[in-house]
Amino acid sequence: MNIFHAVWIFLLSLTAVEVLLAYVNASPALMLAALLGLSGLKAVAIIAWFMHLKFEHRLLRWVLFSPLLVLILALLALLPDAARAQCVMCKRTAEAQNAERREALNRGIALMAAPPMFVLAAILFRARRR
Amino acid sequence: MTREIASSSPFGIGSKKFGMWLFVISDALTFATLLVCYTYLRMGSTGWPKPFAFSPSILFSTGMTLVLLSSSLTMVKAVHARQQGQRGQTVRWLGATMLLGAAFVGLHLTEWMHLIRAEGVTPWANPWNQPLFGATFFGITGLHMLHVTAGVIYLGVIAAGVPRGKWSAEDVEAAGLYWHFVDLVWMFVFPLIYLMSVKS
Repeated sequence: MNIFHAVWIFLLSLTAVEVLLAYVNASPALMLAALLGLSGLKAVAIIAWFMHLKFEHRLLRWVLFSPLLVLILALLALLPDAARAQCVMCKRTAEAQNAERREALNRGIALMAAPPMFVLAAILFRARRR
Repeated sequence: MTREIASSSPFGIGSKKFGMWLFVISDALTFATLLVCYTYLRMGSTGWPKPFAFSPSILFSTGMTLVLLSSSLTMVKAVHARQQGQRGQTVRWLGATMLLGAAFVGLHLTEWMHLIRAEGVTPWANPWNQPLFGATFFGITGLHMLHVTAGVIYLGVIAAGVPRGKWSAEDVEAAGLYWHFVDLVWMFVFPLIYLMSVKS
């Protein structure tokens, strides 16, 4: 038994877990998240070992994954459209409030947005220094 | 000779493999877009059907998944055999891969025929009055099946030329990249189209 047999067994086991999730009829949100995670792992195993990318030059990886990054960015453009259905209600409720409450809501949003923004800035700063 | 070419390429691989990688990545974008479209349409519709009973539909497509996963392992063995110069072994493993690929297409067509004849699901109509279900289901699985069929023919051409030394180890490896990619796509089609649609 070599590494490729091990990868094959790994892929079969993850598939078994996925089918088990369908068998117990997990909730759609949990199922979608778990399936995408497991499928992502399977994809990495196939690309790294079966397709040998693990053993190729680093530059090849960059060339291959940059288009996927562009795709993800392009798909993010769809998000506002998908989220609009939920946002309309929030927006109407917020607009119906008086000026003082609207001000408080804005401060609240700014306060809650600050920590993730700081984390993102820290990551970008570290990435630049590397 | 291949080694010389490889060392002069900035990516450290021959041009055939690099070309196949570029094809694979562009094809991956096609499938990714289709799957996102499918999810988007599904989220945007009310009453999207969940027609697949765990037994037998999901178990049947799980069998198809096992066949395709195993064909990837036999393909790895074909590539390694050709790298070690064992042409007979290469042809045998390629033959095993083609058989598994053909079995996958056969099982898939059986499933399609069952859906069309017994359940009345076609690309334009179905019993749940949700035509987009058939359009996306047959569109995505059909495009994937086309890839598997083309792959079986591709491997046949390679297997026919290996005994007389027509194809180098790099040619077999490029065919392997294509085959693993077809397997990889199924790893997303299977959960998103089948497992997410299990009858509750």
